[in-house]
Amino acid sequence: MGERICRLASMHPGQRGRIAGLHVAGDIGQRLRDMGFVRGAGIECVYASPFGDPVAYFVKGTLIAVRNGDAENIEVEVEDGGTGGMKKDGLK
Amino acid sequence: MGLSNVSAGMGAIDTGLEIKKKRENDLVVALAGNPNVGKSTVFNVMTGLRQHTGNWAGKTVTNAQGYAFWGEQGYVLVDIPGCYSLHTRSAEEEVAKEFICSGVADVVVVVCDAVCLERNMGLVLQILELTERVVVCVNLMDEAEKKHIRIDLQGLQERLGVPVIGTAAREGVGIEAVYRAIDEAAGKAGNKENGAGENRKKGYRKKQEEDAAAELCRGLIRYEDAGYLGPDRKKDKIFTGKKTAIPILFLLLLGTFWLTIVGANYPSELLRAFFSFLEGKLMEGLLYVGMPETFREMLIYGVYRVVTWIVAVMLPPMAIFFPLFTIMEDSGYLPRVAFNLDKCFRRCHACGKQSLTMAMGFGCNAAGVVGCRIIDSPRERLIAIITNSFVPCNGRFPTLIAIIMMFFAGGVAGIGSSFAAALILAGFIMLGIGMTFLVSWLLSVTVLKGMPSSFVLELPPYRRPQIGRVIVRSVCDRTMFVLGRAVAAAAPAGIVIWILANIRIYDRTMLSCLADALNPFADLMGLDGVILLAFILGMPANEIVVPIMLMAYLSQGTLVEISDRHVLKQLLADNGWTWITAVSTMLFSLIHWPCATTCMTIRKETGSLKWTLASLLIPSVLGCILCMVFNFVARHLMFL
Repeated sequence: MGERICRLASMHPGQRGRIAGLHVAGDIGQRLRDMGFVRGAGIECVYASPFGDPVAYFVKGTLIAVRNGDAENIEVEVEDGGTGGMKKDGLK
Repeated sequence: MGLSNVSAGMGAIDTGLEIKKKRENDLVVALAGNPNVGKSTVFNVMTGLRQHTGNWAGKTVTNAQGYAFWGEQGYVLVDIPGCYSLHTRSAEEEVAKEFICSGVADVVVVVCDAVCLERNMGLVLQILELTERVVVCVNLMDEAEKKHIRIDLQGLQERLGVPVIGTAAREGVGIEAVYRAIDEAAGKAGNKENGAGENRKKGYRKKQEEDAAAELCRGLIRYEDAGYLGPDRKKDKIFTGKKTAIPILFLLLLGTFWLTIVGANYPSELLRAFFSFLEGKLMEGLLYVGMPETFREMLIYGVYRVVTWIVAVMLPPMAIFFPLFTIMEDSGYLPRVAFNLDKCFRRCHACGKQSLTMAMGFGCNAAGVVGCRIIDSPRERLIAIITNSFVPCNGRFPTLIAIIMMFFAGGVAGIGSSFAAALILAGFIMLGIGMTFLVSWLLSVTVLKGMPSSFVLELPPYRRPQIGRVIVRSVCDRTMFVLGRAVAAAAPAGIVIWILANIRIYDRTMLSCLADALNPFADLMGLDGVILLAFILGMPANEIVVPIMLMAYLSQGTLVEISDRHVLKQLLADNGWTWITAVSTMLFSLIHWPCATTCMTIRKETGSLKWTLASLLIPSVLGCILCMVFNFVARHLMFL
């Protein structure tokens, strides 16, 4: 189980990880924090929309759609081995 | 399309909230919580009211108030819009924060979603910093149970230091316990804090960057079935899949229209027959009580005929369309549409949530305009408000259907005809959607310059719609409400039209004088003066456009009883209608000024006369241009 830091936008469906940093400024950053995008929260990339953007992520028990432009500014510690979106939030 | 007495039409213009206590010792209870946790359902169960509910974030955008008794105690319940936190960002969250901070409420009930409790705790902790009189209501326990999520409510109560009650509001489970907890919390003196409260404040009051909510919930929630999201993911593969999402969206739209057209046909005919039977009886009755002829004719030929025409034409399609739409709304499909289409909206520098407000526009454009509060960026909200009237509301929907059935689907019999009609209707809706994109883009590159800001949207779990309740709710609330509004606008309009059609200037009625004056311009657009006049006089409510048109065509000055479509078509054809006129009328019906109610709502929502005028002029000018271009091309093609 090696872990590495990458951008949220570069995650593939099925990949899971933990939020390492949120560098989104202003209202949208606050909105993301309110919806559970806080440091340390488990996150899973679930699926992309038909046109590839936005992408749905599973955070704190809910699916949240985020545009790739915003996901570029969120850092994630990625775990290896996806589960295809079938498993619970990453509570270890 | 949040239509209820509170959120639509004139009621959409909310003028602040005044708490209406019935007795001095009534408790004021605020219902707060994240969006889409079933707050409105809890509110409805507690008060017995029917505040509109739906499975998506942003359903409730204004405060709603209800009154309830439990035992001896009276309660004023206030349903405040869902918010993710009190660090307010959007208009509807501002409403929520203001109310909680105002201290008007004796007790705040924070409704949480058992399925994603941890996320909900952020708001609970923030509210606890403002007041100690809090009851945490963990709703949707039934859904959590189905997903095998176990929650230690007792443990949570100990850590928070306030009552935590598990409920399943849809089944009515746990509501009594909520009332007991409210009484208990209200009895607690505001300044005395118990030990647990102090504990909590020390323990969980941290910088928001850190995950206080996760710490609070640690060990209290157990997911016994790791694969509980499986079924939802499978549905999402279909509804948001790369290849399937768009075709399914189109098919659902088409299917809905087809069912509406097919289903509405027969009841419409029945209603017309019934009303014309009733008219004879009414006339006799009025004659019997000795009412003067002028008043009698004004009442029957003016008011009664216009009103019943509206009921016969509008009621059946609405009674079918609204429940179908509510099912989609309840199931959780609508937010997926916003998710699927966001990229298209982003290309136009707009926000994907605009598709939700457009969907609300199908019911009522005024409601759609109010719904635009869910869009965070003011620039994108303004775009959504201005373009909302490109979606045909319920007042224009039956007009479109009637014209299509008369001119384009009459030849083919049976299923083929209704299918063709649905296809043409879908085509017109697509045109409306296309215009929305075009105008959104045009506005974004000119007066409303700016980049698309953001799109963060919760995709709720799919829920099985409660069919029985859906039907009762959409028929009783929405249909009757929209119909009531239409009738209220039509009855006085009926009188005005009757007067215009009966006062003569040099042997000609005022109606035909006005129509003649408009004729040259209308002709350019492929219409005639009467049609254009009907659209102008129909400003109070789009529903009355067709009745005015018919009344003007009939020289006797009243809306004739038109019991079936063939007579109607003959009448129009006699007045020079061709397929070009029909298409032009439909185009103009789709794209012209918003109705008076919508304009007033826009004025209220934007707070600017300039933008209200813009939302009035942009569709009007576009509609005229579109009709002229179509008319020019079509006429030239005819002579080729």
